[in-house]
Amino acid sequence: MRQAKTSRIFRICLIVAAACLLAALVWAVFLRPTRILVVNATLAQQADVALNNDSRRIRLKFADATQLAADGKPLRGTDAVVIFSRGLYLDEGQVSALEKSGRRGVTVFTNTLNNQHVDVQENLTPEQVQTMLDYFRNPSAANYRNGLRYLRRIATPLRRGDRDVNAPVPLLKNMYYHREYGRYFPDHEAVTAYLREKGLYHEGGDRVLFISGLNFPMEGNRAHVDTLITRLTEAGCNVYPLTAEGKAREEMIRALHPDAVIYLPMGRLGDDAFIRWLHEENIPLFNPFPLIQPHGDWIDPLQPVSSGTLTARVVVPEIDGGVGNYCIATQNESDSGFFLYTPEQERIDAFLEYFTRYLGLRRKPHAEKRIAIGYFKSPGKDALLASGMEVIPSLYRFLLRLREEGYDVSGLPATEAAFCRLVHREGSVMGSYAPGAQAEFLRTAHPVWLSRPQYEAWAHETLLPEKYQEVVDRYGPAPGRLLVRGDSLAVACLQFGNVLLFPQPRPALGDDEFRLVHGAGVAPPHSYLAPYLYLKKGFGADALIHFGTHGNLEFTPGKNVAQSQADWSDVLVGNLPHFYYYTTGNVGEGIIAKRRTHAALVTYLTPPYVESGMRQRYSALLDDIHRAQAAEGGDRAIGLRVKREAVRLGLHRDLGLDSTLSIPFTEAELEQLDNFTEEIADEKITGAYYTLGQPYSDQDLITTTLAVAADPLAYETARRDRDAGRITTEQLQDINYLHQHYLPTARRRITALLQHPPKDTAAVAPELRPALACRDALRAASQNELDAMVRALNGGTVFPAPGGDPVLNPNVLPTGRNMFGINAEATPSPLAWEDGARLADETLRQYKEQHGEYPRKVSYTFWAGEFISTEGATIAQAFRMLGVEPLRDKQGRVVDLRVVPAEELGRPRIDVLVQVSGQLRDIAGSRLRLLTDAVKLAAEAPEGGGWPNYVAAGTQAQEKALLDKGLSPVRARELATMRVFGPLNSGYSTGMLGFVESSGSWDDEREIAEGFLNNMGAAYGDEANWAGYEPGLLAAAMASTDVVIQPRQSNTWGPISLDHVYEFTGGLSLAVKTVTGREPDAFFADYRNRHNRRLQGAREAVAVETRATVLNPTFIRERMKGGEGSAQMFGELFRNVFGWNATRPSVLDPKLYDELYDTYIVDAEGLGIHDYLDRVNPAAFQAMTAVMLESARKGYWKASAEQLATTAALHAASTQAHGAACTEFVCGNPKLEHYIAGQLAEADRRAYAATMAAVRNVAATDASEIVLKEDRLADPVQQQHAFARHAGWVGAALGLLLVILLLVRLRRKNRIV
Amino acid sequence: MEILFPLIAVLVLLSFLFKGSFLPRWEAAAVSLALAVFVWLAIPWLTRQTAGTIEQWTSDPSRVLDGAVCLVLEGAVMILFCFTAPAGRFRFLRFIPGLLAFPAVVWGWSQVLFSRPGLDFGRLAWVAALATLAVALGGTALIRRLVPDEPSRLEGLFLINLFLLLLTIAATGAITF
Repeated sequence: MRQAKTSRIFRICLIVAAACLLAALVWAVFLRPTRILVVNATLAQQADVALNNDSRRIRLKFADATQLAADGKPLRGTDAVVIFSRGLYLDEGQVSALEKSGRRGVTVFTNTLNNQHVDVQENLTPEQVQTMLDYFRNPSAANYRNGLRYLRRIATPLRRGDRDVNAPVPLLKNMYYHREYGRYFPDHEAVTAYLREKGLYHEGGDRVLFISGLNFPMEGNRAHVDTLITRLTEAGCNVYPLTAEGKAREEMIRALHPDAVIYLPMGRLGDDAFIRWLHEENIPLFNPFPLIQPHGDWIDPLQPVSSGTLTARVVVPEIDGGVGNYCIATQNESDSGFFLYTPEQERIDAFLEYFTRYLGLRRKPHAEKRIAIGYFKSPGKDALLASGMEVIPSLYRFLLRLREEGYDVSGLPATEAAFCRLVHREGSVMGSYAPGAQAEFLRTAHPVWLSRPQYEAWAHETLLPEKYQEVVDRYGPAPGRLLVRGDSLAVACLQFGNVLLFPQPRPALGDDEFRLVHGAGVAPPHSYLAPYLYLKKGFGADALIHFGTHGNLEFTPGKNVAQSQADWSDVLVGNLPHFYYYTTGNVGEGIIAKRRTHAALVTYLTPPYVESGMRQRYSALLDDIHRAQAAEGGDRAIGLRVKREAVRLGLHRDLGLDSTLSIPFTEAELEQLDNFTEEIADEKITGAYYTLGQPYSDQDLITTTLAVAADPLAYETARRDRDAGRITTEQLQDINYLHQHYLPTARRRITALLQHPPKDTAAVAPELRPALACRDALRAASQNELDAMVRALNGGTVFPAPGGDPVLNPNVLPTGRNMFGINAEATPSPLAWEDGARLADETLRQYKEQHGEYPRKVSYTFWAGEFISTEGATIAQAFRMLGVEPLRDKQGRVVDLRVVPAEELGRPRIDVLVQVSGQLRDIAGSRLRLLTDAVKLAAEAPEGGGWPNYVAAGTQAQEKALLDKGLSPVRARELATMRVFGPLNSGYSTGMLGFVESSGSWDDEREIAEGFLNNMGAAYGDEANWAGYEPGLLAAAMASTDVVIQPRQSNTWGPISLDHVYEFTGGLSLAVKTVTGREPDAFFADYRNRHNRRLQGAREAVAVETRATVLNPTFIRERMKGGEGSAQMFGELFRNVFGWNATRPSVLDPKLYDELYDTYIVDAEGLGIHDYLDRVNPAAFQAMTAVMLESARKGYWKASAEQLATTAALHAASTQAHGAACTEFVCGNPKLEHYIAGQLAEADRRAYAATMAAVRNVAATDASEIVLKEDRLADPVQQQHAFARHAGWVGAALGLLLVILLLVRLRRKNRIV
Repeated sequence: MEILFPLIAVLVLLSFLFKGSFLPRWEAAAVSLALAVFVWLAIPWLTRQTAGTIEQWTSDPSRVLDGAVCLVLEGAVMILFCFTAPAGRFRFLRFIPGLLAFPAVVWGWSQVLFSRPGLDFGRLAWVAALATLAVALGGTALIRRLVPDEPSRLEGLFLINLFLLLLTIAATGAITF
């Protein structure tokens, strides 16, 4: 009975189990919802797909490519996969996981375009693939709905319910549309008819072609598009929204011939020919864009725009010459949980204002247009500044041209000299440290006065309350302290009719001048805001021009692109059409100016290249060297003569050779001397600064054309000879061989052609035509620059062009065009990879040759200009050092890295450290992250072939240093691979220049190093640590640096002529020396010759530049042809020599100061330099003498009493004759003043003291703003002692235990006994 | 404290091992396993602490005084055990392990963690746990083998704890005064 009951219960259980199993089976086979995984859909696509799915039997899950792990985890439990292939890169493991899923029966569909990398289709017939493509390539509400249902039917054919599927609805491939869903138009006439029908057509309104996306209209997630269409229509435009591709699109645009194009999609609008047509037809192109970031991220100034967005939405449109890159929408999570575009109304208003003002320039008569022009000037009496440009004459010529065009420039002085005097008197820049000078300015000049209520009313209308509060918090309530009288604030400016000239004021008050120019991390003062508010609200400007490279507005704090009202650079330009004259030679900073101030750049020429005269000067020596080299066994007499001459010229010091006159140089030394002398002889130097609108002289045209075209011609001729077997490949690659055997001929041929150009250019030999084209482009440039600005002021377009040194890239000519950058995602380009790898190998070869071992760590400086010009060769060097290689996708983008196995590498894996400028960080953030990935990969790479892995060792050492600093192990591990560092707070400044030049405030160079470690200590490695600052991290990363390398890509500057070089490389070198106790080797990676990328020692590079320029009478004479800008450059050269002395004195010849003294102070060559400086820019001369004397005070110059007395007397005389110039060295250093006074005769001393006392009474220097924090590495010896102490106590304890045990055992034995 | 702390930690560990030799074998194994698991769980937590935090704990007077109380209590229990065990009184004392070894061992591993960069944290947790288990089990067994008779081990345990108490008093004095 009991058994039967048990049996019944068992049966019931069995039946229940079977029923459950059956139910589960039925559920799984027939009823379960179809689970579809959607991979790599953008957030917008995700929203579209999900919100248009009306079937509860379809469950959607979204994943990005990184979640698609090789183990196939996300694929488990899915019935189908839909992959959006745009921008997708899958590695082999991921593809294999998909294929494996396919074998398990999962349906995999890839919505692919023809040129895309990923095309995985599993369990689909070709017909089914085509049907799916028809659904997904025609994205509309109906097609998404039906596409998902269709996929459900294929992937899970037995599942019941929601089986009804409609066929795909093909959308017109190329069509116009409008706000109304389902209304599409084949041509613009149909749109016009529709607009008329709906009452939306404005007679005489601008025809605006609006391209919102390649696959638009997406029905649903397009609020920003609809808003823009509506607002443009309300603004009186006739809007033609278009979705089309390729040639058809171009044809439709040509047919419409719009007045303006607004282009939102990623990618270019058209090919080069089409873009040329657009600009020739003067149709401006505007590129606002939606951001794939939520609102909160967007307004966070430390959150950069993602690299993909940067490339697609900003970089590429720039290539087409687009302007107005406003962010008009963000992507935010909706109530439904999906991310939808949200129009940013304020930004749409801003864009609309910019757009309508821009087009309004076309309608407004010139005579009524009001133009505001800002220029840059240092405080004090120095010149108006612009890189390579004489500002005063350029500005004057530009105003004359405006007058010719009909602009009202009434009151413009009749002469340039009168204009110059007026600008210096009325448009000066005041430092807060000079209240006396302020008072003098307010007394003699005629500024515009803003009452406090007026100023505050404008500020409240323009600025966000919290931004204005930042100003008040830092500088107090309006009107502040600078340029104030009573309750009013003065705006320094000059008005000529409808043109307003104003100097850019200092963007922050303090004495760290460089930091101020390149971006102080603080709000600008009232005195900075006032002119920008006035020009919009008071003057009523229609357009704004910044005149010359570069100002400071673009370096005020904020985001790299996609600014909001919270960014000073955006809010101060204030939606005015903005144009910026910018030197073509500085593409890196130009791009930042363009993006951060919504500017269209108009490039201007570099100063002309001129003959250095050094070949003539060294010709006898070079002949002797070549004779000595050619003589069998060496000719002793010639050898001795060479040595005598080299020693006389001091060349032996530059090369570190001996000076024993009785022993000739060895063969190797002769070759070294030959290379060095040849380089000086061939050095390309620039002459007096360029004046806008003034063409190069005939001679300058020839010499500049030679600089651009002679090297390529020589190389091309040599290459042909190599191909013909006349020379060897080694000779072709030997730059000196080319210079001796091919360059002179090339120069002669080009010179002859330019001096006697044939009437029929067809008769010119093909290899000479580039030279002719270059000459023509140079000749056209100056006119083009003025024409381009005038055209822009008429609401026209500025043609796009690449930027850079014309010698390196002749395509930048003619100037007068809008510079663009490069696609950072495609860097390093294949060619750049080769160049970078070669230079890295050369670095290692040279170091090993000198030191007998490989360096452990190489530290690089990366700048934007070099990055753009070399297409990433700088980054390639670092990759090569680490032993990783870039991997590209089908579109050429570098998307991944391969670790080169140690055996294949055949050398140690070298560690790197990279310091970047803020500009590079802003344009190539993704590459910095890639570099950090490379470091991580290299650190994890196994050793092999007996080669050590210095990256792994460096990472461990960095981790240990951070642990010792007190970081947690997890945090130390995270930061152990950080090798990329840059300015703090997403700024642009190292702060070094201001600090070095405030030399009265520091006594030990280590203070500068500590400042550098602090100011450049922000890590730019990965997302989690972007812009983060950890005290001691940079110092830890710097440990074991053996080499520092600075790239160089332009002939327009060198280590002595550009202050940023000592600022970055000198600063880094000094910091390394301070941290490690050893000065690293320093090199320049020289990219100036396309056919000869090479590595050059820093000392040699400095020597070449000083001999070819600073100490070269020909160069000085050339520069003396210029005005106050050229003269200002002499002062800068001296300051840079001082900077090198403070940071890395070993690069300088110890005799350099004496030679500077002979050349400039005594004027031994009789150049008349004193008269020249006295006439055009006494402030520059005062700076030069002050630097010499400060160098003596600091002990850098071992000057004789006579030298000191002479220099001091000249300095004192100049200050008395012209007043103290009040640049940093002249007025900001009481210790120097005291020192100078000590060198003067009694009478001079009294006069000098009186002059300076008057100045000092009004020029009290604020304390430097540079933050110096204690940032020293923990003392390793101390660490070791601590460890030894612990170990000692543990040993003692163990010993004690032993004693206890022995005692116990002994007692026990005794007891037993 | 910098000097005394390592010594105290070592003595606490020795006390644990000596006391472990009086535990039933199953309990000694269980306690060793618990110690190992504790280490395994503690290391991931340790990796998120800074050396400064750990140092702060060992130099904070109130924490040190709390620790001293614990040390005195455990020392008292151990000494009481030493006196009562031969007479067979308070038999429950035999089953009480040295609990302060738990923080002491973790502190010891923290020193390894902070002085040896490049260690894989996950692996370290396993290795540390296994090493701790081996030392706890092996150390107890070794002591049993080296000092087979109970009275001698009791003497050893007594001396260790006496010394610990003295050090604790010294440490408390150093902190208080």
